[in-house]
Amino acid sequence: MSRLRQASGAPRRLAATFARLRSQPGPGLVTYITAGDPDLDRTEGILRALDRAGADVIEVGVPFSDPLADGPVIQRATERALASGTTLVGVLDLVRRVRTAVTAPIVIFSYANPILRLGAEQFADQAREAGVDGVLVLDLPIEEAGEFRGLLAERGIDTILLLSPTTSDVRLLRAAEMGSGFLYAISRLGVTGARDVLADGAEQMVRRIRAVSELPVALGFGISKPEHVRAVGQWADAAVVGSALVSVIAAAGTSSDLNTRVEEYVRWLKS
Amino acid sequence: MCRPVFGRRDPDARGYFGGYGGRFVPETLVAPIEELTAGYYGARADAAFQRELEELLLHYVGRPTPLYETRRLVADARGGRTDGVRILLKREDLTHTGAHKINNALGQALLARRMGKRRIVAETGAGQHGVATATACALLGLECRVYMGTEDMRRQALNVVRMQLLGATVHGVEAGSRTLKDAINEAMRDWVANVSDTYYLLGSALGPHPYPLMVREFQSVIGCEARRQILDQVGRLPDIVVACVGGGSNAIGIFDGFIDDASVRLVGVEAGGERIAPGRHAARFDGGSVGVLQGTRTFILQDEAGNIEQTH
Repeated sequence: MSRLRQASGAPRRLAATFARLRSQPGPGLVTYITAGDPDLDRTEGILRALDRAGADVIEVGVPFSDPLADGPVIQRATERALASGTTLVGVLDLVRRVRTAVTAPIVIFSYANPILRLGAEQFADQAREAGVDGVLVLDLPIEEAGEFRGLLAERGIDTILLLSPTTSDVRLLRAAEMGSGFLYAISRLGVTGARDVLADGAEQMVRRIRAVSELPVALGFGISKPEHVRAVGQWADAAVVGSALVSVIAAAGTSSDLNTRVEEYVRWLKS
Repeated sequence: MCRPVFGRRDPDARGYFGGYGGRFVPETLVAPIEELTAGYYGARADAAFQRELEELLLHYVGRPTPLYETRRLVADARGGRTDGVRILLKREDLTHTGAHKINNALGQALLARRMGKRRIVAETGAGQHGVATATACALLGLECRVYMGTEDMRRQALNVVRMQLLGATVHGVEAGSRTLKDAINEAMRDWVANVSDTYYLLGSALGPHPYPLMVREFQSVIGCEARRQILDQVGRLPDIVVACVGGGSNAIGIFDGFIDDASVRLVGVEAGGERIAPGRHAARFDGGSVGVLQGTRTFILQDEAGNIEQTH
């Protein structure tokens, strides 16, 4: 791992971002959007708006026809994105287009099948060319992720692993060994979706991970307000906001102030 | 009497049968799947569990089901001559609830109770698996929630009423194509949110390990009976075993009895719809390709971008 990191030259963007966050006061913010909602051209504007507003990491969701880990908000976004013709290759092209304009690290967030359909190695090559910093595959648990992680690591791309309240200590250790960039902790059981209050076990979840790993920890699922982000920031390196942001985008639709609304929402989250 | 055949052809430790199977699930489901696997391996090795299942198959389901020879069908199809052709039907429709689905639903419901899970969620397409699950839950005193696409609910309204009469809650699924695949997604979402007290009772030879193994083993009683019956009634093995394939549970159930018989051809028949073209059929082996869907690596119908195509 360290050898590969040296071989690829400059420190990876995710590592640099989380190092900066640790040296600064205030919580980090990871933002998730579904690419292609309402369409890929507008997603380009949204990515730039997120970056301007100070999102520390941007997760770009690849729409998939059967998003079984997602709640209704992201399901609907996915349907709109697929209806607008969005594909994995189209998403990678978009990342390539915005890469030089966006300073935040970009993480591809996908289900396994679109990546396997393209071919894992082909995907890894295209992701590197596009300037993708990390990849998270929702339904590729660590038992299945070994080879894929190797393909990404060879290309200087981080493999982001998910950890859940149901994850055993043994698996936490394995994830800590295999993961890179940061670890994504799910604060509650269930599918994605905004909630009014943070999950009770969230702090405990982060403590369990801290006990076995030095990697930065981002905590997600159910976060929608600045007070959530601040609370999470007391234990974790960053909070992840997904469904709530996707709702803002859905409400704006194709209106001309879409990017403004996104930017204002993210600034509010960081306030 | 035939019993379900346990432990004869297990997948590898990661749940693969050759290149197919595995466990492609979100992280939250990994621990419940491991708990389920341990629970299943423990149950199938437990004589008391096996005995209870066998007694229910005998006295409740009505096993063994007949193997019936259709003499007039053959003659009719061949213009009055049989030319020695003989066709026999394995009458799974004569089980309680009217489909083979009950074999698996009872086995898994017993497992759920043994694991201390009081709440069952299930998917259903046409409604047979939902009815079987609702029946097993009523028998064992378990809470039951069945997810069903609203399009399927409209087409199979009678089965919706049957499930409700049996005490199950039927939850309509509006997402996607509003059919079986979307009902599976919704059942899995329910399970992810309620893993501590909920058991997901999957009815097809699909899903993450150990579901394909469990479904095959609970359905293997079909093939075991059919093989003994044809040897007894006809005096020889069949040339061909034909089964329809949707989710694959009845097919693997009967094929399991003949897999070791090299002389027997096993033929699965898929729904060809109008033609083998995107959205016009449901033939995922004949007209599909390998991919990962709903927790398992198998043949699926997908487009160039890896999204699942509609079935017809």
